[in-house]
Amino acid sequence: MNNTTPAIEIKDLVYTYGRSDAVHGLNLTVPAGGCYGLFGRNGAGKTTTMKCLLNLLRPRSGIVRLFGMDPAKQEVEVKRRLAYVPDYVAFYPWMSVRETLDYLASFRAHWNRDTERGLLDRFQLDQRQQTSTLSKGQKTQVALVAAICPEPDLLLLDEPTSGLDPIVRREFIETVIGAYQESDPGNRTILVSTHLISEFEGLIDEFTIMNKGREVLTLGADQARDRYQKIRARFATNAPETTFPGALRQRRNARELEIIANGGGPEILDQLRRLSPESLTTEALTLEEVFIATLQ
Amino acid sequence: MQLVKEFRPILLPWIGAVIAGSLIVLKPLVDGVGLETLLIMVVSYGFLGGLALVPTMVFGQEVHDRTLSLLLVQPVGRSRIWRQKMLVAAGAVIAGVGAEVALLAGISTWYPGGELWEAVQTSFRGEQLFLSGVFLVATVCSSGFWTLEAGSIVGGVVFATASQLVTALALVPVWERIRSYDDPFRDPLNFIIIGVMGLIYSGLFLWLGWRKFVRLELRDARSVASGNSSSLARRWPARALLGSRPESPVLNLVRKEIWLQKPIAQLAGAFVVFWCGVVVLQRLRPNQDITYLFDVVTCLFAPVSALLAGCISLGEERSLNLSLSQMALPFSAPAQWLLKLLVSLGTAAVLSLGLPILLFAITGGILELHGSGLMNPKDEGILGLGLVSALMFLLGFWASTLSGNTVRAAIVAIVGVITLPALALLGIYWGTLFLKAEGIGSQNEQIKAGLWITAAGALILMLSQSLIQFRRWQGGRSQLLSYSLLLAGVVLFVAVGTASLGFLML
Repeated sequence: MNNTTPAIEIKDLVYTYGRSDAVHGLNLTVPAGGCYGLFGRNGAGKTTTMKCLLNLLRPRSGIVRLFGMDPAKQEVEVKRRLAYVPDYVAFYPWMSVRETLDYLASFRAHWNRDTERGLLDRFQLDQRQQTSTLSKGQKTQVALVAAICPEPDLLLLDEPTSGLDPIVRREFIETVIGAYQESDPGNRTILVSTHLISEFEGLIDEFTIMNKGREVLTLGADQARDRYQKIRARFATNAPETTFPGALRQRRNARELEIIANGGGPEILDQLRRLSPESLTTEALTLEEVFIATLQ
Repeated sequence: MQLVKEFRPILLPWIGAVIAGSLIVLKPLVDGVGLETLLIMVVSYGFLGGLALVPTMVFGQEVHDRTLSLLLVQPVGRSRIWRQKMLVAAGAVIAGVGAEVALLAGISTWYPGGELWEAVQTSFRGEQLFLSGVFLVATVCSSGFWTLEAGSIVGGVVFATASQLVTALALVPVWERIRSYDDPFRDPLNFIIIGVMGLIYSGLFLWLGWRKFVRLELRDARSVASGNSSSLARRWPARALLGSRPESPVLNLVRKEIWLQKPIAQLAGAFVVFWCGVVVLQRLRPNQDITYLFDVVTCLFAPVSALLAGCISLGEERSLNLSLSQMALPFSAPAQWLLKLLVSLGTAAVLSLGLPILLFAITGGILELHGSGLMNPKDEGILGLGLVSALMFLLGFWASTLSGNTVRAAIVAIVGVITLPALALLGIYWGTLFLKAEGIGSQNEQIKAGLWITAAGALILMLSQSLIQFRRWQGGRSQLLSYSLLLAGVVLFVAVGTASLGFLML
């Protein structure tokens, strides 16, 4: 793979369950070395997309490539370079945590035992405990340990923090994921599908919002912050009932006017200034707010 | 580690099969008591059924534990995983047969007067052993395909067995055209033909299974099922009848229980289709008597459906994580337990036994059932089948309150079906040894009476344990072990006691 080969490339992906479309004409390019967010409501097609990447589902049409390889034809080569944490984590119930990790390590050419020790300590996981007795959050923790230890080039995380308590969640996102990427910057790629967008705010470099199987918005995180702005104006009397071109949404509440701008922030600000407001503030939208504004 | 992981889940049915097969050592003991049919059925079904479960579980356990995605995302080719699993399945079945032969050879050395080999030879004819071999090879090769197709262990076993029966049924007319013998085993060449057909079948399903596995798509079963079934379910007329209403909680619980028994109704549907196929075939080919197939399929259907009727209700609720919310309902737990028992019992009585008897009665009016001995009053075959089915049902129901899901309950029940009669016979044997020593009492009568009293004792204990455990909602291995040991102890004690007490009563 050369540096220009994206970690993930999806072109016109279509997948259907019976008659209903799960993914319809999705295009996605994830450059190597970044953290990419896949956002969408329940049933948007995020998990189906992930499963197509893993060859767990075969696309009805379209092209899927990981590191330039076709996962259907070079399945093993592709999977050697990635690790996956599913939304529903399941382990063999009779195995202990230790046995589960040994079992999963047996498939890998490389397994970082120091990382494993560190993560087990950090998550306070008992290696002798049977997986059938683990809580949902603990199972997710074991899955995360198993995904990080082989130090893959690509981490596919499907709702990775669901079930984790807030402390472990924050620690996982800030420390574990951060450390994973920083240990080989430029080569470690993460594709994360999540509802908890605000938790990944600082990590996401680029994201795609999906709705009903279709791509709605693809943008870099910094671009999104520049482009999507929340403008608040306060007037001496009731807010004027003016419409603002370029406003994605506007809300009037007595003397206050709140506008979500999609790219037309400076023009809206000029227009508002002409209306002589008492105060005028702007702030960038968080990714979660961008997500909500896009889909509402 | 990977091989250990493959062997771990199949250990229980494997051990169960070997133990079931070794029960043939009790044959000289029950000769002349009228329990020969029962023992032969337990031995045959236990051994073949247990070994059939082994290859099914190799794939089915992954589906059941939802670990297929964990396995398939590992950097190993699917063909390699498939080969590994098939090797484990085939190796385990071969080892099971080998262990059985070795075990019986070992026991026969201290068995008095070579009675054991004689018992084996008189119980199983050469062609039966040959057909069993063909069945095991075909099951090993086809179970992967059928388990993945059905998406469950139970479905895998049922389809793998049913497809062989249907294939055999379809080949009967061809067979008659090529070799017009009433007794297909009169000519040794026919062994070769059956063997070749078995190999072709096995090869075909081996390839289909591999193809299915390498192309397997991991869809969310629940969403797919609900998406596909909703329109069908809406059209199903029983849905209106079985749909919940805002009033009458008892009726709603009954309706829910009937819904949970739906797989038994589907199995019964397949049974009726097969039955009709045999009837049509017999009408088309009156010169060749194939009515023995009614017995074969009934002997398969009745115990299996009774077992499933017993364990599916609570087993499925536990698999779907519904049992806690059911227990949280403002409705007495013993009443819920009783409703479960009654609806399951009703299903088993109507579908597992009532349906075959009805079909025999209807078919008797159309065809001469020369080849069928099951309904012959002299042989008491249907009584034996009824007893085995009742035992399967009861053990299934008991095990479902102690296990986490249907499959575990079914395995525990199968182990129980093998172990409890063996313990009862052993207990009665010890008791009658005492009688013999005293020179008093009719041994056969003592054995029969002892078995009935033991069965009654076991029934009361099992229902009590089931109710207690149902109210506790969540069990564990230790609970299952302690209850099983108590049950085994009571069965042994009552069996010894009743056989010995016979001496006092005489």
